[in-house]
Amino acid sequence: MNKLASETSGKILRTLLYVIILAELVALSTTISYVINYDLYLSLAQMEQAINIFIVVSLFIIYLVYFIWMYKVHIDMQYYNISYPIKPSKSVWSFLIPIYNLYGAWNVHSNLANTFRQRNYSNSNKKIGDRIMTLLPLAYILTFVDRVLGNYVRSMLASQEFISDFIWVSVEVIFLALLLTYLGLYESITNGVRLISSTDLVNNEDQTTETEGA
Amino acid sequence: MSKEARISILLLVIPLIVSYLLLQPIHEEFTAKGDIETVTELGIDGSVYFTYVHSGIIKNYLEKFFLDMQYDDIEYLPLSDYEYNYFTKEYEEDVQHYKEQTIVNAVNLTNEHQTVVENQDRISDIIHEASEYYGDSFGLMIAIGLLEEELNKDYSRKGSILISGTGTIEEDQSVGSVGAIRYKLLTAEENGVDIFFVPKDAVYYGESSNQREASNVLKEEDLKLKIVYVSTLQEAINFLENLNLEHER
Repeated sequence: MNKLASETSGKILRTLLYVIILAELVALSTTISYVINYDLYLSLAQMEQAINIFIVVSLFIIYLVYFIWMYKVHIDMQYYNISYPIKPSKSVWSFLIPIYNLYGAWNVHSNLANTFRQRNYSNSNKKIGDRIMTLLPLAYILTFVDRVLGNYVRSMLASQEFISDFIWVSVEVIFLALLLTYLGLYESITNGVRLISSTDLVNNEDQTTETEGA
Repeated sequence: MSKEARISILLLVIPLIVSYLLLQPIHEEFTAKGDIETVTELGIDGSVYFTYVHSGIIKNYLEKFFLDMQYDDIEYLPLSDYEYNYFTKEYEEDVQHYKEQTIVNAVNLTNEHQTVVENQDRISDIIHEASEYYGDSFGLMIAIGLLEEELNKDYSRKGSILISGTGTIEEDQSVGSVGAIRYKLLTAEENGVDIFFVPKDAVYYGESSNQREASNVLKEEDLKLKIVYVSTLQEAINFLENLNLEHER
């Protein structure tokens, strides 16, 4: 069995996602300590700063790895499905072009989901397609809320106005939910590509056997 | 260890290094332009303004990075260990004490015929309203505002002149020196202030006085506002009264 083109970058992306989720859990814990025990928070404030820098820089790296992985996923999709409509380079541009990416990111994911659904060699593929189409709108909503909250917090900080505990906790919870959604999408797409590649292999083996029999 | 694990660790080292570098300690004091605020914000029925700046201390490069993003024009001054310890431990307490003292002086000097209890209530009210401001440099402007209220005056001539300034007010009516003159003048100029009071303190502090600094900034920045140097509250009031008389003539 050939190794998938997206295998290496996928594993790296998964590791980075796990680490950033762990870091975000720590950030959420410090925010909760800010709300319920301010003295405790003061002792954790320096660590929170470090965690936040770590998260911001990691996020840039994750986006980079994500685009590489998405490119490789589409190489795999083209390999196992010659008529697959999205080229690897287009899949990356779909995320990068401003405004267009609102449609582009949806298009890339929904095409993957539809392909997994159509190639229904097993019920698992259909479920994977359905799962992607459930997580996708959730990712859009969470991204939108995350941006709105982020802009609100930045403007309040700039004007040195009071930010409620609820907003602080919401920022962390929404971001954590967004990361978990990304992880869910990653897992689903990876499983989908693996299933397609393995079923393709089985089909090829079947065809070989039949040829030999004839 | 697999190739993927090694690459992941290498990639994770990048944010770790960035975090480490940005959190390296650096002890500096910063000052940036602020805003002007009417004394009515402090519950005083006057027409004059006080000018405040943004200032504080930074503990690491991350804080410096954020401040640089927030303010276009910001000045940093390195702090010695002694100064840094003072800022982090005793400064807040001292600043609060000086702020309250300047408010006490302003109220007592301008409400002489009021009872002690009435004055005390007024002092508490102003301290409460001024809770979001640090420092004692608004003392002179509070005193001028209180006199306007007491004498039912409007030195701004219904807002046609923007009057602001800086300086503490002492028990003997004298106006005390303050910090961040440069940024207070730049803030006042940016907000269209016409007349700006500055402590007349060159006789005490020479080159490092507020007076000399203001004079230098005025030339260097080619400011349009008029700086009025005063050593007492009475000098400031005399200037404003004369201004009104000239206008009436």
